[in-house]
Amino acid sequence: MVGLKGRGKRQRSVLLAGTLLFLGFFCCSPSYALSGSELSISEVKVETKSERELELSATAHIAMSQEQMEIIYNGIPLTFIYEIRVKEPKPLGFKRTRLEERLRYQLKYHALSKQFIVKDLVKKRQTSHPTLSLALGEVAKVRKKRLKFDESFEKGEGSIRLWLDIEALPAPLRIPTYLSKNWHLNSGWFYWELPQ
Amino acid sequence: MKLLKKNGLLPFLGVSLILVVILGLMARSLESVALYTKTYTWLVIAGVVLFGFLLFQILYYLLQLFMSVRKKRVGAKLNARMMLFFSGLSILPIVLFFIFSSALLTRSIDSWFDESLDKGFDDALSLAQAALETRRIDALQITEYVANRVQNLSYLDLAYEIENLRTEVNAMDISIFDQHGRFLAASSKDFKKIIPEKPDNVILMSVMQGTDYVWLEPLKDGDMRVRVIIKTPDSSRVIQAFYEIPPYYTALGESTQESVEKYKQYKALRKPLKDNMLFLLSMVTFLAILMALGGSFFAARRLVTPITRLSLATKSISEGHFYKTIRVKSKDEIGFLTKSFNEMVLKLRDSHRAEQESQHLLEAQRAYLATILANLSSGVLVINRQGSIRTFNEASLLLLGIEADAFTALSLYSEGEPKPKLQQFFETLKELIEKVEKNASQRSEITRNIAGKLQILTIRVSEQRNVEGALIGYIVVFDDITQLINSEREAAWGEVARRLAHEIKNPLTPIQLSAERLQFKLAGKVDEKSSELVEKSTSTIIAQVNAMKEMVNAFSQYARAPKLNLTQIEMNQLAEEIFYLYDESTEGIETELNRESEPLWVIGDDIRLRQLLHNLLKNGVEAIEERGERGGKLSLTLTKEASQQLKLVVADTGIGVEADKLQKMYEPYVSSKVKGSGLGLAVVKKIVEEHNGSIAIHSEGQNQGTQVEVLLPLQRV
Repeated sequence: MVGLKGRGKRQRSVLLAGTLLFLGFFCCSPSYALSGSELSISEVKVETKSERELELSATAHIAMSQEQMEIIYNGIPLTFIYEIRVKEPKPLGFKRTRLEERLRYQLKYHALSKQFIVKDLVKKRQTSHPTLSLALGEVAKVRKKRLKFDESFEKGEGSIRLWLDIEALPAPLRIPTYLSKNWHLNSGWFYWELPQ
Repeated sequence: MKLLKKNGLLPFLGVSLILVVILGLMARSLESVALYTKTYTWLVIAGVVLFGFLLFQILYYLLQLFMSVRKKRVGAKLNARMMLFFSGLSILPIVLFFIFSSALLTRSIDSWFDESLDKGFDDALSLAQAALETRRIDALQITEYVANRVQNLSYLDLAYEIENLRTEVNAMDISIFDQHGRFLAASSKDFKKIIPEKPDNVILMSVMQGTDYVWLEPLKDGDMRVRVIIKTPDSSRVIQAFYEIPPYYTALGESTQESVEKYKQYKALRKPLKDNMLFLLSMVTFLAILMALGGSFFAARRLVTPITRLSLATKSISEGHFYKTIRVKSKDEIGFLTKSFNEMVLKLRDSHRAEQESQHLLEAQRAYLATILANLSSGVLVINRQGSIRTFNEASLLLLGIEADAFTALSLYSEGEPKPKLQQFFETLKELIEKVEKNASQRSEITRNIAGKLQILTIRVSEQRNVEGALIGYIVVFDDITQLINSEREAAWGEVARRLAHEIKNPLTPIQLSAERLQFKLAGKVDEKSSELVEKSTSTIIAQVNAMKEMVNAFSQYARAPKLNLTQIEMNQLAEEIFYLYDESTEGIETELNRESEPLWVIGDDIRLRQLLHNLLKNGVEAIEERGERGGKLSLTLTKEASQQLKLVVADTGIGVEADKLQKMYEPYVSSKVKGSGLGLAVVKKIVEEHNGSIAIHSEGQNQGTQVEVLLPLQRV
């Protein structure tokens, strides 16, 4: 915008100052500070099973905050999602997504049996674990996931990431989790080169 | 923006309705932690957007109303007042409702979770767990029995014996591994299950280190089982066994589990739930306030709009626009009022039209009267009873020789003296009005000297009465009859002259001839003394007859009908020629001719104009001579006036004219000189009038000299 009048400038300055104040308050608020929760992909192993098939294994590191653990102990399930993508390079630096899959795991505490249940929401299977760390260990592993491509696929780059699905949380928790960085858990993309 | 301005109600209602639905869905989603989880985010986003739109709409309307009030638009204040009233009535209960609801909500949610309830749920869970615990211990003991039985069996026996043992102990599944976790043998109740479930390596290691694994495991279909993993007493093998839990226990346990889980979920979500509910309640309250504000705005506008229309129409009518009617939209009291207003406007329009017509008629009559008055040669004045002049016409100004502003704020009876020109006129008028009031004469005549010119005015005063017959003023009609009087007088003198010429001139010749004959016949026939007497007497008779002839000729000349021989005459040259005669013939008199440098052409009779100059100069010379003093002065001045007139002034330092004679100097046989016949100036005046000119005489009195001023029209180039 060109040629702002004095009044408009003042209004904009007040608006900018207000926005900065709000952001400052928001970022410095206790709920937004980090408190020990973390997600990361530590290892990815890819094996060629056939000409058009790969087998992916990955290991992640999941550290949960006290608040999240309390949520689990109170019977509220947490959902973790692995997102796997394979992209094929195209001319001029463009990339085409050739494969995109999601693996969804739900972690839940079963008070009666004192077991932590890990459900594979895609394959509809579940395992029980006597401790949270064992259950998290189960979630943190992608075991021999088969990736199939069509004949036109030649070469490309794979990526995987793990994140906590806030949208799967109960509605009352939704708004607080939107505003808390502690709940915005995401490993970020882990890239690997596909074997030729 | 146009939509908001014109039909803002529909978007307002639509958005409000959608927001009600959204808030309802959000409230519904809070009832269960698992309900609507996927759509909740979209509900929040849609809610924020629509709230923003609604807030913008309301703020826009409020701003619009505020600006209208500031600009003092018609109906804006009433609109704002009604809106404040309506919204105030709605918002106060809404706020009260919010305060009480929020307090009640907070207390209600807090009351859901007290310690006794916590303990109750914990105890229930512990009870369910205790009930299953016995099953767990039983499973361990049975598995220990199996472990004792299989520790010394060979591989071949192991495969056979394990099936018997599983059936014996009623296990779902039994698997045997070596100390390295390698599978040795297995038996399962489910024939389809070929590969046994391998325990987690960590658990296996833990078991090998001496920690038994005995756990209840929930299954995906809601059932439960007990998994036992122990090593054989000689630590050479590991036994894994699964045992069913009777459905009755499972159902009870799961039911308790679900209740406890739900309670714990709610307890964990107490604060966010409370915050969410308060947030939702706040949003509902906020929506209610916005709806109250918007509703108040639209309601006030709906009520005020017809009143505003009425107000605008009233203003329009007060400004004289009677065509404005309002469309009747409703059948309520406002509609009735609008209908009555329209009827009133129609009646007003009719009466206004009638008034306009009569006004036009009146104006036409007034214009007609004004035209008549303006074209009247007579002066007309309308004077009220206080003597103030209310109406006058152009002719009155011309006749009185004054400007229009001389009449302004002028009263006959005002203390100040009127202008000199009006003094005599006003005095006569006052006298006449007094006479009229006494029902006496209404007519009078005055003679005025205006700048050396004689003016005779005849004045007639009549009463002006209103419809009731009351006296409201006087109407004065006056006319300049100078010309008329002069004409009558000239006609009379002309008649006298003709008679003189006819009656006197005819016997003069026989008288003269008789006298000459008598002188001739008696010459030498009478004695010397008688002869002298005869000679003297006849000479006297002849001389007097000649004198009488001259006089009769003069009269004849005055009386004869004007028959002009008009030509172009250059007056400078003519004046020079005439003046030369007097310049040369007058001794002891200083003469002076002042002429214009440019030619002064007039259309006139050369002989008559020469006579005019002769008469004036001759009068001047005689007046100077009669005064008897040497050193007199006679001047003739010709100047061109701005009004395209020639001004010819003959001035002398002679005997002058007395003021009382000044007005009669043009009459025949009136002269200030002892010798004069009294026809000179009368002839001059006649010549001037024949040439469409005017003449004026000025004199300060006896022996003060005389100035005769003649104005003649110049020929237009």
